[in-house]
Amino acid sequence: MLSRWAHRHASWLFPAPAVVLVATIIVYPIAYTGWMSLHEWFASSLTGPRFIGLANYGKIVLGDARFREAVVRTLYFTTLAVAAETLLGVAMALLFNREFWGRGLLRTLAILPMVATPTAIALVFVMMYHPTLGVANYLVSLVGLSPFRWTYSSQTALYALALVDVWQWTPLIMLIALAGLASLPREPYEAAHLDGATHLQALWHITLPLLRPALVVAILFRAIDALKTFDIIFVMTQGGPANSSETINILLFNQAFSYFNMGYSASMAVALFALVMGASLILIKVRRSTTW
Amino acid sequence: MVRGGARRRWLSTAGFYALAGLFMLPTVFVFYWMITLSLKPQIEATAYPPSFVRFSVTLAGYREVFTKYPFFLYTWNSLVVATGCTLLGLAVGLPAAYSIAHWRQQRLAVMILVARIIPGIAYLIPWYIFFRNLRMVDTYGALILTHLIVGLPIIIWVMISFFEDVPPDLEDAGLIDGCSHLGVFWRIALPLVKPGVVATAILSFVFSWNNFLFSVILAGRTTRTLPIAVYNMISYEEINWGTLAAAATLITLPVLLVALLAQRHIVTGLTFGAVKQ
Amino acid sequence: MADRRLTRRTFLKSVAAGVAAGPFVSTPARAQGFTWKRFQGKELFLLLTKHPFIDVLEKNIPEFESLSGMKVKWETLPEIQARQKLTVEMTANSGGIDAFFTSLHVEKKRFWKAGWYHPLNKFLDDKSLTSPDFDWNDFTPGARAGVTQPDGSISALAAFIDANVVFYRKDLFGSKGVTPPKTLADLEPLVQKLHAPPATYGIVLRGLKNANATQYPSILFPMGGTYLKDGKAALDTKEQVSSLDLYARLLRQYGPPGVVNFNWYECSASFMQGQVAMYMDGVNFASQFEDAAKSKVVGKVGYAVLPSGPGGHFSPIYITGMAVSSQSRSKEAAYLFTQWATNKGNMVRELMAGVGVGRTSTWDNPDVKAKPKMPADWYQAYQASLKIGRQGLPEIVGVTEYRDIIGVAIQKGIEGAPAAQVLAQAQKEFQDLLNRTES
Repeated sequence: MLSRWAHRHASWLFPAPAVVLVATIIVYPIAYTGWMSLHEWFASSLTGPRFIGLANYGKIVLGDARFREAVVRTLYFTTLAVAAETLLGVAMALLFNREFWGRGLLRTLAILPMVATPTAIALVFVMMYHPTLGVANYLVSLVGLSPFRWTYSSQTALYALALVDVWQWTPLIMLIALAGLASLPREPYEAAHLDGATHLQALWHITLPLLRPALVVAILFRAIDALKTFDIIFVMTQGGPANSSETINILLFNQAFSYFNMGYSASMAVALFALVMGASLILIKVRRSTTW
Repeated sequence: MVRGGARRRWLSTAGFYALAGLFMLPTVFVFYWMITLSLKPQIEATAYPPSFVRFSVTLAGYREVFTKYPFFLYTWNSLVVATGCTLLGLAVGLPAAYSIAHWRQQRLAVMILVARIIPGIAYLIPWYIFFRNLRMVDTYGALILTHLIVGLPIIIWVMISFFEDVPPDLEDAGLIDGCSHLGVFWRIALPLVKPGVVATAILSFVFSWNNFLFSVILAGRTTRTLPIAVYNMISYEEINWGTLAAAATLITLPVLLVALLAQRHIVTGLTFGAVKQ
Repeated sequence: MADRRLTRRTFLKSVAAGVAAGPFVSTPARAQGFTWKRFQGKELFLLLTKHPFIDVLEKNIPEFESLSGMKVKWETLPEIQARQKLTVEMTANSGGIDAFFTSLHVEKKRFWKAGWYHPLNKFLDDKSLTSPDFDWNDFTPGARAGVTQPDGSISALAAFIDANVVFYRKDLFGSKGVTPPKTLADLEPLVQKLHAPPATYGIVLRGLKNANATQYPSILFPMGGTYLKDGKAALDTKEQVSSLDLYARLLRQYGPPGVVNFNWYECSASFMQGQVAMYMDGVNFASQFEDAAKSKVVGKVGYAVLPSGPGGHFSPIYITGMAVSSQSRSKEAAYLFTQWATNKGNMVRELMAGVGVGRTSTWDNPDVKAKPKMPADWYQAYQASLKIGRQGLPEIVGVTEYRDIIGVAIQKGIEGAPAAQVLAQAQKEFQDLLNRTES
């Protein structure tokens, strides 16, 4: 009896534990943040939050140039980093998707950057990027180029940070792409080979399209995380020099924990959420067009 | 003819290793740098031109990490939380992913994604209030639950793609044969998506291992995790580069060991040409 | 019979008095009801910041525990994480923190307005709560002013005072036949003379926004500039323009490459690797300069007071202290800890470890004088700077935001923008900030 009932209701029994778990943990924060975004409060123990309606939102859209610049920067950084990671990640997956000596070791090593603590990596890069004492400029000088400013100039800071992000997160794309390649069926390749297709044609017409669903998911997650990048920017430049690497997440952290502007920070968090949600929905649509 | 073919093969193999080496160079270099930094005395750590191979070795950095902090406790805590979070994530996430793939429950998938999209900072104060009222601050439970927010969405979303690739005919055949949905899931679908399970388990473990923000707020002295130890190497007036690099190396080490031990599974999980019917 | 009973009662009374006086046998027995063991058995939780003062203090906390019979639990985090944790705790009204280490130059007015500090005036006046040898007046006037709010409430007990001084390379100065700058006018020609890239850069100062705002007054104050005039923003005055121009020019022309984003660790690293001739910053960074395991310039560093200028002779000072949380459920017990942490005995320990303190008597302590950890001119420069000490940052609620505003302006200046232009922008933003938060 129970098994028949379970069988009929399987479609919600299966996901129920996950949904309940997630819902329990995110409901209160969502409610709290939304509520706080409609108030003005400076974390005082003496006076409570003051209701001001949508004034915070009005300010971030119309009155805060710093926020608008942060939005542009966030999108730019994300596009740059994720594009580079996807190209490199897929290339590496294709390269390593074969039998070769040292395969296991190499693949394990390749995922290491993602495994290291972002804060520690950021600090190691801080010293590597030091303009006069750092090894990065030393290597650059060996190749005959003039030293870069890396994170020490408002022109180059964002790119230097993107480089750290690419270094650290390309393995994520590679890992998912490898898993995807491992699940590819043999028949299309056999058929293509019989038809005389080259490797490149097989790659373009078979591999990549079949990889696309998994790849889009990987890009989706990278994009979400890149839009919210915090650790490396915080440790390496704190949004500087002169705010040239200040993204929305850094700005809203400052608003909350440096300026104690709780309500304003909450409204920025909601705005960031909307931005990331928007980007995600676009990517989900892209993915949907390939499968469902 | 034979010689030409052999030479072409040798070139392509050499080319392969050259290319592989090129790709791996940045990775290897940064870690090499981190490890040598952890072995150098402070004065050489910031020296210029930098010393790559010839430098005085000191274990002072490692000594300081172990004496200043209960490093084994932190490692244990990180291990417990990351493993717990991954196992729980797989236990609830795999069925959910299967369901969403099988019954096309798009909206549920998006709802789970929302947890990952919310900026981490928005969680801090409400979670602290929430867990404090439940007297769960400084417990493994609070940390595992909150780290789930980072791991579960990726487990579910990546696995959806893999479950979608399972041929529906196989599933229907199973159902016709009298299998319950659970049976189809367990005996037919799951074995076919092993590569994905391996990949997402690794990712979930890694994300939990490195999570810093939530641990600062919710962990106490008994449950403190490793990333905090790294951050504490920055004091008011100096950064102990040797100790910092030592801490960073030690944090990466356990995951590397786990990865090496599970290497065979990783390899079979991610092997080219997993046969599908 | 009666005699014996009397004798026994008298005996018991004297034993009780001895117990109440506690281990402070060395101090005069004018106990007047003060005892360290008053809150015996209570548990305290402290939030401490990673700081040289705390490094020394932490080691001695077990002494407090046996002195008071209390159990002390604490957590030490880097400053920003500590403030984050404090914010979360206070916002959640958890009562989980009893006392904390506070950076007054960042938190003073903000925490006061938010009601997070518990005023200590009543405790200090209460002879049953304050040890007789605590001596509030032993703290320097600057330290006492630094912890007192406009309404007279004392928010914390001063622990550590940071003063800004000049660090210079005695060897390089000697070879060029120059001495540390006495006035601002001397500064630039001096730096120019010493500037010999790429081996030696003339000067290094903090460029990173927010961080640079604590060093900028080293030039601003002697130039005669200030940040507030009658409660209104004063960033666009003639003196401000000259100051920012000088600060930016020094770094742009004579600083190491990339200095625009240097925080103290890049500056210190450059100085310790022997790349710069002169560095101006908080006096406590010096302990690592004299450590052979870290520094290539051990024994070559000279310490001098900052140069004076048309506006006077000042050293920007920054104060940290121990505060009692207004949400603590054991305020008096927490107060016992804070006063122990800042008493004469502990301050001597700090200074002996090379950490500057806010008490006058400590500097003349014979033990300190007998075993100095730092060179003599470090102590001289430090004490002289304390005498001309002046709060380096405005005492406003939005001080962090102010630091970002002026910090960005300085960075833009270093990268080449005209001082007047960036200051006009900063002035607008600062006044806007004051209007928003100082009402």
